[in-house]
Amino acid sequence: MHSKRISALIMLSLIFLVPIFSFFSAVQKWEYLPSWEELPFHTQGVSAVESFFHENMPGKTFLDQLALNLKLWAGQVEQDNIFILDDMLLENIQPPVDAYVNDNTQGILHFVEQKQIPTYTMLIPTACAIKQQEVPEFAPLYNQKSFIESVYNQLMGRVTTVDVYPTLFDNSDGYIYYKTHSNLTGLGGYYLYTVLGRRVGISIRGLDKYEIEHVNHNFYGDIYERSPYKQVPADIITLYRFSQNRREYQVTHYTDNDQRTYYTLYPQFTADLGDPMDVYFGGRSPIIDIHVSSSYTGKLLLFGDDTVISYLPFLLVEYQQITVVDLSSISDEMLSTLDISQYDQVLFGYSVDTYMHSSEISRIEQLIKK
Amino acid sequence: MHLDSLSFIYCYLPFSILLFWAAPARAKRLSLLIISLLFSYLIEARFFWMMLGSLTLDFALIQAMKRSVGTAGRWEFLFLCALGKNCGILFFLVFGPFHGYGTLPIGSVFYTLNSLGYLLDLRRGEADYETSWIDYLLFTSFFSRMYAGPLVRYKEIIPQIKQAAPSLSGMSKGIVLFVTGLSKWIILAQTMLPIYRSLSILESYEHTILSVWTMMVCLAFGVFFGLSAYSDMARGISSIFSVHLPKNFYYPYQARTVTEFLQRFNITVYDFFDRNLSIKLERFPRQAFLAPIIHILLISALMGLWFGPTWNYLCWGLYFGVFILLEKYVYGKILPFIPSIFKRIATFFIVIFSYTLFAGESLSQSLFYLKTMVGITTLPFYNDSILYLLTSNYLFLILCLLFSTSVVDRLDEWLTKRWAGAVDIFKAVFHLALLVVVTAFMV
Repeated sequence: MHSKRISALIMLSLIFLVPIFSFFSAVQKWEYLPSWEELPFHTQGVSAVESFFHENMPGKTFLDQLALNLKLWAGQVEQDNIFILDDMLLENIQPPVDAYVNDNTQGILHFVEQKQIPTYTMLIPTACAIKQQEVPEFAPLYNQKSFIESVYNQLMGRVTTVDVYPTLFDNSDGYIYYKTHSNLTGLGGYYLYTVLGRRVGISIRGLDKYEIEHVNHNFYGDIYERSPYKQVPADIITLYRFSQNRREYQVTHYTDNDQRTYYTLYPQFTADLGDPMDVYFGGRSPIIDIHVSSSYTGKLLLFGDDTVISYLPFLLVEYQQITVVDLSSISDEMLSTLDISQYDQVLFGYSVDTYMHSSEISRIEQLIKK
Repeated sequence: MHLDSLSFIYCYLPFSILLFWAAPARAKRLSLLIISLLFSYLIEARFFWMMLGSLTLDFALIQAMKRSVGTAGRWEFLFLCALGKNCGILFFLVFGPFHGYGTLPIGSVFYTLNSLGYLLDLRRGEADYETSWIDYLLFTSFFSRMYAGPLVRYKEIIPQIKQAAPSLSGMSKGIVLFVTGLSKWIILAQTMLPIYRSLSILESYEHTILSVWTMMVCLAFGVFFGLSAYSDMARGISSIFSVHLPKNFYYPYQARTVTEFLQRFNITVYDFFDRNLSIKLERFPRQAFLAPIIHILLISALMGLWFGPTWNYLCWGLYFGVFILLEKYVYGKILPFIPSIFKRIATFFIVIFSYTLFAGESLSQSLFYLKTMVGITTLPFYNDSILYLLTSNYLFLILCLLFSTSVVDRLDEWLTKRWAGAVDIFKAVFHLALLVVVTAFMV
């Protein structure tokens, strides 16, 4: 009986101490005092309090690990649609939202009809499709290969499609996808470039023509944030620099309010300031305009998602200018300032995940209306 | 904020305990009312005033009834007004949302039924006239009971409310019960219900025999652990505030007969219907032989309709009614000669089959599930998907099976008899670890 009371007292102490520690943990992060609306006197405030405890729970990292490991021990190899494997985390891509897929495809088709410019589409499979030999036994996977084929069939004859699936699959033993991040590595990007290059008509350089620099050996990406499984090894961020006929780059980021320019593809100080992946081009922006000083004259307009950063360094070697447009963040006003006529080619380069679960590509219709 | 949220466990609960402990003896009940009403406001601000208005009107009618004792006509009129008002609200609350009119506010059915039950107790002379508005609100709408009950009776709750005073023993019992309930909900129910949902959205041709069996077992565990978890949390919180509530579930899946199952499942709801519906059937003396049959079918139908006004829920309830009648009039006499283990297994399977009605959106879908389970189908026995689901969750299924029986309780009793001290220490550490694990699952 005494031990029951002691147990209850300890639990009560825990219940009382957690909010105190959470509060002090939050105070250290506060940049301002919470407003009246954030206090728990109405429904909105209650949800703010709930978020407060989720963010500031003492020992949050330990608790996250504990829950993950207990579920893993109980047999749940897949948690929150992520396969937790010994040496990597694989996101299990869910079936597509048909309306989004249709909107995206129609958007590209309308664009091609209206603009009459050589257009290419590259759908990039995610890691769980290419590394399916790593996926637990019996796990149902959405067939990304069939999905890509069905989209390409709809685009056939009007858009040049780039099928990177076989090449990635053939090289699936290599380090082509990050282990903790939902993107391709530089090496994966190189394989994309080899296939894409052949379709757009540029020469393909061997990997030996690039200087390789490993800038971060301890990178944990976005999938790790969702499933922080300690046993998975850290990723390596690698930069590829073309070593022949030295090129000068001018990378200009445009947002609604300002612009900034870097004179390198890899402004490493930006990674030190925030996301390690920002080492590539200084992060993502609605528009990134990259000018290259070389004898090449081609100009490419690239609509793409995060996968762009993997293959862009290789592609840039062959162009005078590449403008990367992020349709997920660009405003209508900025989109309307784009002058398609100054480009020779247009590429839609998206991961299958983005194409299936976001309608951002359909925003291209705004550009068509111009 | 709900009972299973971090904001409740680590903010509202400590705040409430502090308020209750700090309040002077005379203001304990007022502090409890403030705690309860504030919680109700925070979870359903839109319907808070409706609840307060409805219960205050009931209280006013009860005061008027008290003053009318001895004047039968006036008393009956006031009683019928209160009864009609509560039945009307109940009808609108239950049928409205199912026909697209509004949503069912959390707890509304419970506070209305508590109030209704009290009126019927008053009529039978089984309760006193409550003169304190604070006590009446605490009895009918104490916040922890708003989710899944239990339904309570005036005579078992009011004396406790009137003597509400914090005690360490009540608090220790309450906190353990609350953590147990929370664990059932977070670890077991919240694993079983998503599995059920993922299988229930499959097209007919995507199913296998094993997937339908898995679906029904997961639903059975999900419903049991979900409801009993909220019931345990309610009992735990009430106990922290020195009010001890009755059990609402007592290992229904190890019942030896269907009759016993229904008496162990949603106990206070069954008691409510059993107690209050028997009155009217006593008025048919000539058809006495029919009375118990109608009574059983009516109660079992209402036990089904408790989950919603659909044909499937009605049939789910009546399904049990038919088995109860069979047990009572057909094969009841041979039951004592069958070993308990076989009776428990048979009842468990009868219950699992019943969930085909519970799960189906229509009777034809339920029939499809039933036919698939017994093998009258062209569907395969299993496929990769269901094997993957089972290999990923087998341990949770074993835990559910284990904790849906009294095996652990019995083991606890057996061990306590021999090594009481060691078991106490183990349980103390276990419950503490459970709170940490549950918090980890919630963060």
